[in-house]
Amino acid sequence: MEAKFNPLLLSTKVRFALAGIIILLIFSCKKIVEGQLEIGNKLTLSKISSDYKARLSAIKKDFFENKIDEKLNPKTNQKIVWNPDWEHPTSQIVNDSISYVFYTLLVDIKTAEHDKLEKIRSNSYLIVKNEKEFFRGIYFADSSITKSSTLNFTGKLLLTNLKTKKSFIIRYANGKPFDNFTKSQRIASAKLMSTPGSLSYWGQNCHQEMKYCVFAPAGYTTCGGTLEVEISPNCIWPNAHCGVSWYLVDSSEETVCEDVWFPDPPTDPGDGGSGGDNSGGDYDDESETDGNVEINGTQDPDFPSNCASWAYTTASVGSYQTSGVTDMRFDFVTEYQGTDGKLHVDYVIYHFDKTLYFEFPKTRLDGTIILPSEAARLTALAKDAAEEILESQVESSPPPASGAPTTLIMNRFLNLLKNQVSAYGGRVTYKNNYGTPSSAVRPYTKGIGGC
Amino acid sequence: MSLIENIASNKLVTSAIKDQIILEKDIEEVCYEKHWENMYTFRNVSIDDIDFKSIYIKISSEAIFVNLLTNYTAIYDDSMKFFGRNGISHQKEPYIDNGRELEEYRKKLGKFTILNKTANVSVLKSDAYGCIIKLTVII
Repeated sequence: MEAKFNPLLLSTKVRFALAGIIILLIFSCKKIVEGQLEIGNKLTLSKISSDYKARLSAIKKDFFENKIDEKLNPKTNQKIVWNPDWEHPTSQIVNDSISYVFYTLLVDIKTAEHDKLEKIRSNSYLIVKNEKEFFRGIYFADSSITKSSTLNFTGKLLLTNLKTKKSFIIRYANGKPFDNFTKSQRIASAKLMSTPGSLSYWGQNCHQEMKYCVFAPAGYTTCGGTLEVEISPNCIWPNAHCGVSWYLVDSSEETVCEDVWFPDPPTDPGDGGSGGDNSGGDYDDESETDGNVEINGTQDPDFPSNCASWAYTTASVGSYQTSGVTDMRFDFVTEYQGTDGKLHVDYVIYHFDKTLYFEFPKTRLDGTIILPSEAARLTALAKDAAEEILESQVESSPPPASGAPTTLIMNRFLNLLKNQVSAYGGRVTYKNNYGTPSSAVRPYTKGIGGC
Repeated sequence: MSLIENIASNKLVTSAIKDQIILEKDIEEVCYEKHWENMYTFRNVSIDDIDFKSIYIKISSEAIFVNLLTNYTAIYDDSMKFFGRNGISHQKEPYIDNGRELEEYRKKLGKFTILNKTANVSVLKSDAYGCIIKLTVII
């Protein structure tokens, strides 16, 4: 019997074929969307993006339009106000396609001793994922208080989605997130995360409440005059420190899903907990630090810095006088006991490859003029002070036997130098912000006569 | 008392390290130059029968610096007598000044507890300036 054409069967085949085409189309559409993220090195927010600042502005606009600020602040306690430090964001890309922007949270607070509004830095952050998801991130070191640095952080990050109020705990070791999830657990967890109303993958580990308390100092500390807030995950009252006591200004309870996988978590902000990479402000990026280290080579004398290294000239705009210095260097001597049991002495000198620009105010607070020679003398003292602090720090906490990365030590020195110069209202930067002429750029020297 | 204890008991040094401030009333009758807030050079101060040409004190948020300058180089040469320690000596590259080689030596004496704070102490010697005792207290 001759087989006859069966239109119903064909129709079924066609239907299968059409369904297959549709499925393929759906998958290919999905691929395109994912592809956008993968080629998203172009699309993913990055500091090198030409529209970086514009996109940061859009994040800020979104923040206020969606009233995230209200979700960031306690409703009942009006004594403190949290604000992101919009001027100094840091950004990072994880897994090539997910962007995070970190803004240090500043606290406006009235201290008990000073009846005026103070702005205090905290060790918590507004974290924006892919420019659209707003989280509050609080880093808890393995000790109970958050004051520790977030650089190479080891501990936990409490990450709270400010829209959904879902909170996650992410564990870190040496700045890198880690977990023990299997692939299937990750997929299941990710599915549940995208399901409205779903909170957890493992019910028993969700709904656990985590308390945290924010403590503020009663006034300035007697050691350093700084103001900081302390955040305790167990609401343990901090001990009186440097002459100040603490009082509770905010507390919260979060429903936390500790064992729910959070896809593509951020790494640590990597700023030592002190703020951003200044890309939005007028500071500069320390990742630009470049130089070399020489051990037991030619030694610099211990003479003080020669003030002639700083040829300050009046900037054409603003209230600064500026100068540039090439071959900036610092050195120290370390002693250590070798594996042979003998005392070893190393002379270590670091050289900056790039020109450092110094910006120094033209007047004191009382209006009196600071002459270029005086600015040079103070800068020389600041440089020598930074060097001495570094050497003392190295003595107290020597680098590992394998040696410390050159840029790490150089950035540490640079931060000390910035702090010392900022005590006079000055700044140190890699950027020639004020068009310092080449005549005001000189090599760094030491001298016996001083200024 | 060792020289370091006598230095610590000097009123100006005590104020700097203990209170982290130099009060105007404490320096009314002293010859000094004020470089900035909490940054001074005091002239012609005698401690433990040693004449110091200058004592530079700087108090910053990160550290307190006290540098004492004198012509009395025996402090370097006989550190055991003055500080009870020999320390570790280093000779730096000679500094060439107008064709003349100026040698410089440094002795790191290590950490001392001064007024309940830890200070790193060094002594330097050179024909260029005489002898400098350097105290750095990290806050």
